[in-house]
Amino acid sequence: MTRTKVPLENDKHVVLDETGVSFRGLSPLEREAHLNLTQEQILALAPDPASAAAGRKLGVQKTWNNLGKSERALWGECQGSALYQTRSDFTNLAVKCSCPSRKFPCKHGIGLLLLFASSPQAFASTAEPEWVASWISKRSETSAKKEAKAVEKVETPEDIAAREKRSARRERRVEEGLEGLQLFLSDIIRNGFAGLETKGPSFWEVQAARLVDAQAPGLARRLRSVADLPGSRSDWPRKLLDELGRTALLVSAAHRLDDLEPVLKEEVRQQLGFTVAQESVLRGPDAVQDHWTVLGQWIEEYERLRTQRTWLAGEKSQRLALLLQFSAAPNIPFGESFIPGTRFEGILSFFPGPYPLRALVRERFGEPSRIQHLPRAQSVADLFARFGNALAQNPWLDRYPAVLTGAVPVPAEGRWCLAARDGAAVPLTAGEHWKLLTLSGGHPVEVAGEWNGEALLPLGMVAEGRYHILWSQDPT
Amino acid sequence: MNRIEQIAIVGTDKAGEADPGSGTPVDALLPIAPEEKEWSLLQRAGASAVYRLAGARPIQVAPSTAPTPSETRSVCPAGISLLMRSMLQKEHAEVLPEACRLIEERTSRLPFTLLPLVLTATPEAMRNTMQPLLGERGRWLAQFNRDWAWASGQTEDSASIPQNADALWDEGSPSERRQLLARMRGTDSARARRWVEQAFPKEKAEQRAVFLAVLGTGLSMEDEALLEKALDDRSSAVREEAAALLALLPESRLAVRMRDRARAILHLAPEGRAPAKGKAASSGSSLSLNAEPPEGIDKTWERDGIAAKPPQGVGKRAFWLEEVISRVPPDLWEASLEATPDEILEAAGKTEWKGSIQDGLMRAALLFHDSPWAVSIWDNEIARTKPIPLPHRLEELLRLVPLPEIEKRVTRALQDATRASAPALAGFPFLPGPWSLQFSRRYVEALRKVETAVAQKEKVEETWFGTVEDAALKLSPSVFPEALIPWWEPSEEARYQHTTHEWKRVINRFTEILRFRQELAKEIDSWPI
Repeated sequence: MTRTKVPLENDKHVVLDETGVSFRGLSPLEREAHLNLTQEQILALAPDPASAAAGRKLGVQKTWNNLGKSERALWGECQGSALYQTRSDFTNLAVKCSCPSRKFPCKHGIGLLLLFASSPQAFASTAEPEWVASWISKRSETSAKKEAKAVEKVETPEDIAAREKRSARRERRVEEGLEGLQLFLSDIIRNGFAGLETKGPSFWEVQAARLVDAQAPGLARRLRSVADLPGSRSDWPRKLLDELGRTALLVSAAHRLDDLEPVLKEEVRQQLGFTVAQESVLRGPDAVQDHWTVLGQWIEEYERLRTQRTWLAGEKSQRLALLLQFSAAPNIPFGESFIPGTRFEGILSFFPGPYPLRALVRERFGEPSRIQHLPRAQSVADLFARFGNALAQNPWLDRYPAVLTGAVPVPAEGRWCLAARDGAAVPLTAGEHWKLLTLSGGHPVEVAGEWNGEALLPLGMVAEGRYHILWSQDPT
Repeated sequence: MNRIEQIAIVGTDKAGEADPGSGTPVDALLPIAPEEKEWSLLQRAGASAVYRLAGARPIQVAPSTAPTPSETRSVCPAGISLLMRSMLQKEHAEVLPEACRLIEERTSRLPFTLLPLVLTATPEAMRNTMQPLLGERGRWLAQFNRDWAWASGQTEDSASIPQNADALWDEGSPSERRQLLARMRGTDSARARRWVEQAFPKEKAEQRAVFLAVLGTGLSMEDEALLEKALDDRSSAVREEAAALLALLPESRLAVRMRDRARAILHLAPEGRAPAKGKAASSGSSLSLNAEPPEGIDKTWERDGIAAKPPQGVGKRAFWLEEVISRVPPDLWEASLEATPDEILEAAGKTEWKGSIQDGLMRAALLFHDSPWAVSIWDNEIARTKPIPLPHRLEELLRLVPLPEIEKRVTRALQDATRASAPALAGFPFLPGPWSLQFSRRYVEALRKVETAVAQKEKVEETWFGTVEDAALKLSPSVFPEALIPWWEPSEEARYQHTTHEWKRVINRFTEILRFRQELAKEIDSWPI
C-alpha cells in the first residue's frame, strides 16, 4: 500500500493512499476547511429560489444511487421520473446532468453537491464510470483547444486588410458619436438642469441609442445610468453634474488618444466600449500565478444582460482582480463557477490598463479550498487611501473591492453603516442587512464588498473562521 | 453647493459668469475657454468630481449598542436546521411544534444563519415555544427590528396595576380601558365593578356591553345588583349580556326565576318512572318525560333574556322550551327528575320535543361547563342510529370532556373502524400527540381497514378522512415503517369520484407528513449526545 504525505499550509499534513484522502491528525474544523463547502455556498449557485428549494430536497442520500468520487470528479445517479446521471468536476464545480432541465446548475446538481457537503462518506472512492471519465476528458480537451487557439492564430494578408478597414470605419463612427455627445452635453449645461426632471426617458435614450449605433456602447451605458437621476434624490444636481463631467473628461481624452500614455489609451478605449479579444489577454504579459481568494460575487443586470462580477485577491502578489462573466438569461449558465469564500491556485491574465483590475482565468490547479479569514483585510482609512490612489491612475474607475477588518454593522433608520473600532465608518447600500448583523452579533467581523465611492455593497463576511455569502439574487 | 453646480442648474445662458469655480485646485488646471464655455465647465466639474472622490474621508459613527453576550446553549446540527428552514418557509409547517419540542429537549439552540428567517416567519402561535431556541443572539437581535420585539423575552407584567389607574380608566382609549379593566378585575374585582358602575350612565351601549362581559371573570353575588339593573338597560346587547351572566349565579334572582320556569316546563310524565318489566328491563329505565312550553310568555321572561319572537322557521313553543333549558344548570334535572344524565337524554329522545330539549341541554352544558353532562351528551350523539350532521357545538363540548373519557371512546371508534360514528371520530383532534405506540398501531390498523373499504367502493364515514392529517402529525415514530407501507391509490378513472378523490388527497398528505417527520427523526437520532 503506497502512502503519500501531502503537506498543508499550517504544518499539518494529510495522508493519501489508495482508499483516498485520510484526515488523521486534523481537527474536525481543519478537515472541513480543506474540502467542504457550506450549504450556503452551494445553494448560492442555484439560478433561482425554486431550484435551490428543489435541490435541497434532493440533497438526501435516499434519492441517489451509485455515488462515487475520484481525484477529479464526483458523481451519482438520481432516481426521478427517470434515472438521471449527474457529475461534477472538482476543480471548478462545473456540473453536468442528463436531465432535460434548462436551468444551470439543475436541481440534481445542487442536490449532489449538497449531499457531498453534508455526507462526504457516502461517496466511495472508486474508478470513474465511463460517462464521468469521458465528460472530464472532453472538458480538458476543450480548454486545451482554447489555449492552442490562443497561441496559433495566424492571419492572411486579406484578413489584415479587412480588419484594418473595419477598424477605420469604426473609428470614424465613434468620432461622430463623440461629437454628437459633446453637443448634447453642452446643450444641457447651457439650458440648465432645472427642466430635466420633467423630461421623459426618451430624452436620454435617443442619445444613448445613437451612441450604440456609433459603436461606443460604453458611452451609451454612462448616459443610461444617469437617466433616472433627475429628481431621484435631494442632491441629484451635484451627482448628475459629477457623472456628466466625468463623461466629458472621457470624451476629451478620446479626442486626444494618441497623446495619451499607452495604458491610459487602453483604458479610454475600453471605457468607450471597445472590447479586447480574450485570446490577446490570455497571451498578454500581465499574467500572475498565485493563490486567489474569491472575496465575493454579485450579478448586475443591465439591458437584459446579466453580468456576474467576481472579486479576487491574490495572496503572495497582493493583486486584486475582477472577473466578469456574461449571460443573456437566468437559465443560461455563466461558464465557470467561482465560489465566494474559497481559494484556488491559478494563473490570472489581466486586461491592460493604468490600474489593472479586470482579468481572465488562464488556468486553475487542483480543488478549491475553503478560507477561514479574508486576505488583505484593511481599515476604513486604508480603503479610502487605496481608492484615492487607484483613482489617480485611472480617473474613470468607478468600483473598487473593499476588504474591511474589525468592522461592526450599525443599523440605522435611513442608512446602515459599517464602523471600525476608531469610529471611521462607511455607509452600506440601501436596505437592511440582517444577515450581516446577525452573524456579527455586534462583534467586529471581516467584510468583503464593492465600494463605489458612496456606499459599500456587502458581498461576504467572515465570522468565527467561517465565510458567509451576503449578497443573493432573491431579496429575502 | 459650489458655484459650478449653481450655474449648471440655472444654465450658462442665464448665468453669464466668466470663470465659475469648483472650489478645488483643478480650476487652475482647466481654464474656461470662452468660445466653449459649457464644455470647459463640464470638464472642470468632472475633474473636481474625481478630486473629491479621491480625497473623501470616512464618516464618523459610534456603535451605540453592546454586542451580544455569549451563548449558553450548543447549536443544533445542520440537518435539523435545514428542515427548520423548510418548515418556516411553509413546507410542512405543522411539524414545527414537534421539531421545537425535540430541540428544546436537548436544550439546544438554532444556528445564527437561521435567525433572521425565524424572527420574521415564526407564526404567532409558535412564538412562545420558539423563544428559548433563539439563544442569546436571537434575543439580542430583537431590539433592532420592531417586528421582532416578541423575541426579546420581556413579557408585560400583567399583574401589576399602575399607580394612576383611575386616571387611565377615565382617559384611555376603548381597548386600553378594556385591558385595564380586565387586569383590575383580576386584582381587585370590587374596584373593577365600581368602575363599571360609575361609567355606565356615560358610556355608549357597545361599551357598556363590553364592560359587562369583562365582569364575567370573577363573577360573584356582589355583582348581582348591577346586573339586575342592567336587565332594564336601553340596549338589547347589554340586556342579553346581563341575563347571560345572571344565569350563571345560582343565587341571583334571575337564576331562581329561571329554575322555577324550568321545573314547570319539563317534568316527569304522570306515569313517572315505570318499573322495568320484561324486555324493558334490559333496555334501561323507562323514564317518561312531559314538556309543557307555554302558549305565550310575559314581560318577565323577556326581561330575563328570553326573546318573545323566535328566529325564522322555529316554532315559538319549541324556541321557549330550548331557551329555558339552556339557561339552567343541567344538574338541576338530575335532582328534579331523579335520573342520570344518560336516562334523561334517552327519555328526551322519545318525546316530540326531542330536538329542543337536547339542543337546550347541550347549550346548558357548555354555559355551565358541566363535564359529566358533556360526556353523556357526547355518548348520546355517538349512539344515534340514524346519522345526522355533526352539531356545530360538538367541538366546544368536547373541550369539557376529560382526556381519559375521550381516549376511551376514540379507542372504541378505532376498534369499530369503518363502522365508527362521526361524533366518536370527532374526538381525535383532542388527543395530544405524540400518541403511544399501542394507540398509534391501532390507528394504522384501523386505517388499513378503511383503505380496504374505500378500495372496494364501500361506504366510509367521511369523518375518517378528517382524522388522517391530524394522525400523521401525532403517530409515534416507531410505527413509521408500517405506516409508510404503500397505501392504495385510485386508478385514473376512479379518481373523480368524491370518496376516492378525498382518500387520495388525505393519504398523500399523510405519507408526505410522515416522510418529513421521518427525516426529522433521523436527524435527531444521529445527533451526537
